[in-house]
Amino acid sequence: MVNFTVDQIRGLMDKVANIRNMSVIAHVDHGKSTLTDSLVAKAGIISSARAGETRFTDTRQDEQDRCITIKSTAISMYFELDAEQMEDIADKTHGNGFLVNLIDSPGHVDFSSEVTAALRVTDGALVVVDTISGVSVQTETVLRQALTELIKPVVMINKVDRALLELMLPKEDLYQTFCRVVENVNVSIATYQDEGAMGNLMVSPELGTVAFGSGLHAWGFTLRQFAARYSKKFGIDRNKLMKKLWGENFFNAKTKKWSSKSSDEMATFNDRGFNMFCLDPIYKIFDATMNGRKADALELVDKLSVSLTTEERELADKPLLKVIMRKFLPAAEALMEMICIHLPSPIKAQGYRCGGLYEGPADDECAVGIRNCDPKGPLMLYVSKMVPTSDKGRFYAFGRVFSGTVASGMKVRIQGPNYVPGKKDDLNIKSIQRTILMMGRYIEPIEDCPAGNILGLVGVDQYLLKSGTLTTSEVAHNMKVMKFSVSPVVQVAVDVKNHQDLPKLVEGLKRLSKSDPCVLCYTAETGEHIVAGAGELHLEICLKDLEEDHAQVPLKTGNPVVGYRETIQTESAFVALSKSPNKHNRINMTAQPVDEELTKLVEEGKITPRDDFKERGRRLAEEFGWDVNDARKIWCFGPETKGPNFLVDVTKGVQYLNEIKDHCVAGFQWATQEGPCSEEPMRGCRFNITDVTLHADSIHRGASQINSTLRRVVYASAMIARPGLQEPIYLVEIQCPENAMGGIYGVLNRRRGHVFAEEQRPGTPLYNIKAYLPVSESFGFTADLRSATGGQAFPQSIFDHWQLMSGACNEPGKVFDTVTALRVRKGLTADLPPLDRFLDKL
Amino acid sequence: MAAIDNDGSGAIQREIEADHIRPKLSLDTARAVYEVDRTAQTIQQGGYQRVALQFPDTHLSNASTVTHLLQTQGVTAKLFVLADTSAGSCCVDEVAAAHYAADLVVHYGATCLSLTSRVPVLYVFGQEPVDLEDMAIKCRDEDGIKAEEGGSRHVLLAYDVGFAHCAQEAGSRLVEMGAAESVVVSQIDAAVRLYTPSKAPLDPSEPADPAACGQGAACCGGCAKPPGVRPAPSDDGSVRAGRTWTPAPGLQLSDYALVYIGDEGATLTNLLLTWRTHAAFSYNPQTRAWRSETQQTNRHLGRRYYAVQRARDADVIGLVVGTLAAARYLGVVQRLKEMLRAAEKKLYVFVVGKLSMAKLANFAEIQCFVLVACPENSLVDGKLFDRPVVTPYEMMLALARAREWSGDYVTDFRQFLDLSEDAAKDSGAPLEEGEDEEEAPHFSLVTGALKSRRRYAQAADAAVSSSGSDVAVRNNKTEIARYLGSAAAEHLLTRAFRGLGHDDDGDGDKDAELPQPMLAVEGRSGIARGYRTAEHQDDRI
Repeated sequence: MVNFTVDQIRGLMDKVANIRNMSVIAHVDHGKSTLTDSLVAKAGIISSARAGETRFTDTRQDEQDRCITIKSTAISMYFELDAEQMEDIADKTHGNGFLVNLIDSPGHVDFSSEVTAALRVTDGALVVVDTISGVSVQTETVLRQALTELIKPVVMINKVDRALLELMLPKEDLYQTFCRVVENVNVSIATYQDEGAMGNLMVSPELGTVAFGSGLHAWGFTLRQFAARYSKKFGIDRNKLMKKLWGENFFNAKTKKWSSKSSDEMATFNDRGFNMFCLDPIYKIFDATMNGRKADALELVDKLSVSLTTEERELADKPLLKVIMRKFLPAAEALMEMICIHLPSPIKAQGYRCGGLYEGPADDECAVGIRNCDPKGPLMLYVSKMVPTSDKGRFYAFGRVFSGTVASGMKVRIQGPNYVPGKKDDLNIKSIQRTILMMGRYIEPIEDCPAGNILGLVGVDQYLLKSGTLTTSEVAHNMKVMKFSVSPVVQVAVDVKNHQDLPKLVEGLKRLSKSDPCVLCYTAETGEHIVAGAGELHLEICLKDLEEDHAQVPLKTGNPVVGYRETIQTESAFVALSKSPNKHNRINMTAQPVDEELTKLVEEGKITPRDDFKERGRRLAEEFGWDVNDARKIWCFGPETKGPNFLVDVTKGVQYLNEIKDHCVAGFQWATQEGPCSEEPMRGCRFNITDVTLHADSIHRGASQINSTLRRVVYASAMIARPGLQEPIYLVEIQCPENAMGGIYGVLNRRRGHVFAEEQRPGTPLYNIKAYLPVSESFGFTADLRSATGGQAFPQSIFDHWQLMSGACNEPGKVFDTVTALRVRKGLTADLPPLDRFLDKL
Repeated sequence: MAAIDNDGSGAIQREIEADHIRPKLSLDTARAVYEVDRTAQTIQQGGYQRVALQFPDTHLSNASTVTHLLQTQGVTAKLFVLADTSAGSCCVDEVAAAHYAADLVVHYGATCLSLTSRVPVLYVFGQEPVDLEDMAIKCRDEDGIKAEEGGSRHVLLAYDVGFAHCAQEAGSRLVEMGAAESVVVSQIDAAVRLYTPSKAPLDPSEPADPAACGQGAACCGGCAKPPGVRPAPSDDGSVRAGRTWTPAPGLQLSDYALVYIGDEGATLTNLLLTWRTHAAFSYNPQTRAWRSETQQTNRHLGRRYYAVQRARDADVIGLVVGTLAAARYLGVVQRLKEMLRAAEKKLYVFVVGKLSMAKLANFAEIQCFVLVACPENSLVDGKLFDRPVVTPYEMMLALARAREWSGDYVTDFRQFLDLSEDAAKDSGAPLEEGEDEEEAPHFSLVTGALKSRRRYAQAADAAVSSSGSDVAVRNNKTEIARYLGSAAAEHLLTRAFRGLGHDDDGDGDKDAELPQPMLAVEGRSGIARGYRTAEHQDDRI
């Protein structure tokens, strides 16, 4: 049944203008995988009769069982457009055969790191939106991700069949629903679009960038198709007609004239163009088949020149409806046309994406190669994720060639995320064993692969953990590291049941880390193995994978816990002083809280330690009211030299100060990594070194003296600045019918959550609730919610921000209890360390 | 946490808790407690001329009494009192003893029982009181002693050296009271109490004689030789933490529950780590507290495991020699050197005496320290330093790429040497074939990222010496370090302040114009607290 061969595809790979790399993104349960199926059916890998039932791209057993996509899956497909369709493609093409590399991505927020990885290697995105639920929180999130990666969206409004069969919406209401969806998508686009290179990205049906249909029934259409159909009939230009088929254009059946009013003085039955020409035939088919008027239906079929086989004519009701609709408006046709016409080719896309992809200078050979998508340029290949192979413990590196050509056996430089040009860290020079084409459940080996294509690599998995850059150029910088919208905030400790299995667990953790772009596996100081994920579901899947696939030994898991951040709430009550172990050096310090906004900027990487200090100083002074001189004398960020805490030198004329800077920086990293109260990382604190007294003899002010002293004085100054604790907060979006609202409020209240937005989805009985919920209270939330609402509410939780808990670490109360619990968990003494442990007297 | 307030002054200012100091005893009690008669007899029989009496701080109050008693017993040998030992007070301070040319050291109080290499030692443990009745009752009420549901209660009794005098009695009391069905009392080897090092097998340059142990590592823990049968002091694999024991036939270590009499401390920790029984309990005779130690053990092991993971990521290793007395320490140092060289790690060797954070923090380029010291001193809590301090055994685990920790633990030097020899044999063969594997970065469990190894091959040394007249190889950026592969030089390059004359303070290459050499002038004198200079301007405190 396969209607394309690998050789055909390999041939197309060279014709970069005819390649479309795209991902399918949407909110969970909006029907991405099902829709993808109808495309795959068209490419002929599964029989078209079963499209909508198989979910070809859900390759894992648990994905099939849970009906949810967990991993993104890539597939290459080949389509041919006819001459009439070719006319609409603005750019230069080679022939009418198109290679579409499609990546189906998961919709659940917990897996949105997979979406990021998919978006990186594609240029266009098919955003799927459910007609009834409309634009949801995850739709917005993935759209935002797509736009930050400079990816062009087109929209598919899915599940139209439900609107017709379940909600029985009249035509005009359905039109209004469509309008709202398009409008909402455009609002999101307008909000997140980066001005510049990509031009207008707004989607609109009359341009053909919005499709309507049903993935389950495998039908769909764009206005373009109807316009093409009618333009012959009416003899009107197709493009003109397309514009008439949307918006405030009405057709008077009697006068056969278009007008812009729904009713004019002459007659009252002006009908909207869209309703009249697009929805009407569909409604008629639905009406006839579902109400048992089979004869009418078959008559309609003939009228629309849809040919059915005799067996198909025997069908009735829904099966008949499906067959008719699939033959009348095949979804794959509509979508493929939209994808090929409106999504950019790699050549076009890389032209404007280059700046956002490459860290190095815009004029070096690699940047030029990427911008031109030059198959003869130096190799630049970005590996965005690892895909497990059937061979345990080995992975295909999945990525895209942005420049040059990659071939089996080629020797390449493998640059990990920490590679710095000119240094040797995180760099390996190895040869690629094989290059392969990833096709859902199958792989096909290929000889080589030119720029603009997505592929898999064998033999580089040992040298990269999750992602990285492969290149042949010695001057190449890294491709930009992906930024995920989720972060691993929920942790759980895992241990083996039998001690002999420990090596397997360690190996398993390594494999788990590779196989998921977001999960974090490490050892805590207590010796526990920690797996950290974005949410409960994510962790659950990770642990299941770990136990069943990666480690294959029985495991026991602890309770999920969350990480906290230590912070301060006021300025230090007085200037803290600490003396070095030999008493010959003294450091004075004050601590003060930093603006939440500034903290966020640092965390997002908008303000970094590598910025020019003058520029950064000016910015801090102008936007955050820092003293310009102080702002220029930030010694370092911490923890890990890039965290949201600052060490600032505000001393005046201290001798030898430059000599101890390194020691101070080292001490500061250590101190901010483990705060004074609960040994959680610190966040949003600024520490000012106000004065330093140093011994005249350098041997007595060495690292050993300064390092620990700085750490103590940081702790001392934080302890007298009302130390507090910040906890992670989820943004929860719940969609539910009105009668379930009570249950939702109940559950949220019990869990310290609070609702901050509640609105009804126009045209539906559904309500949308947005709430903040502490991550620490979120364990079991989904299940709890389900039982409280009779399974009608399904929450989507995404880490949103850190929130200060009210109270101080050193005053009795909730924060104090939390700190004590943290300390006990870490095997520390339950009591806070006394202040005089850090603070010295003059 | 303790480290950051550890500025040394604590040791001076600390009020030693009253119950730890032995009260000054009357002559008669002291004679019994400090086994004066036995000591005097040993000294006279051995014909020792110069005897050093080593007291730990807590027993120092009785030092004069004991000396006096010994002299009245007719000991003619010259007696010295050693206190404030350079390593831990549990170790015999051979170096100090050597200063007085002592031919016998009498070691009082708690000890790690590690063997010495030069001087004969007489251990006097002292006799501490213990309420055996109370202990037996508490032991009887403990349910966790059984290895499995409905199983028997087998107890392995261990004790701090101060309770050696009543250990046998305690064991029989446990059986009498029905607290246990069988009790095995661990023995402190009688021969150890007067330990005379035999020169030949302990020569550090000579490899450990495999015949001496018989079964080598295989006999560790499992087999037991009845103490006292062997004529020579036993230091083979069946001794752990200086103790031997004989399991009843058909039983294994894991069938026993460990019951320990004594305070919590390094001895207990060491026992818990090395004797992996299914459960462990301690009885503190002073507070009469009975406590389950199983969780404590796991916590300790967890921390050690974390230290091993950090050691695995380290490329620059500091080898800290923390003992100059314990037998075989040189062999261990030698073996570690070989292992680290084979793994192409950069190695520095230090001797620092008593370990303190301040001393180690001076070597910022070192990523991990290996402490070679007596078993009780070598388990340094990772929290004290911002760099891991591991034992030789842990370093060995960290270097073995394929091997993961099975949960067994070795602190004994002898066992370590045997094990490391095996490990060297194991890893020898696959190393050459799996070259590719070797080069691949490994997955660091500390950071959760891949860590590629920095190799510090000896080739670097060769490059310098082979290039004839060149003192150092420079590249065009005058970065000598790149060619020499010196960890210290590399570290210096990352520093903002590189010492006088290299202070380029961000405004480009000033290295070219180094300051002119100056005439040497007389420096300051005095102590750091305040040098004696003309104006006393540096008197800071």
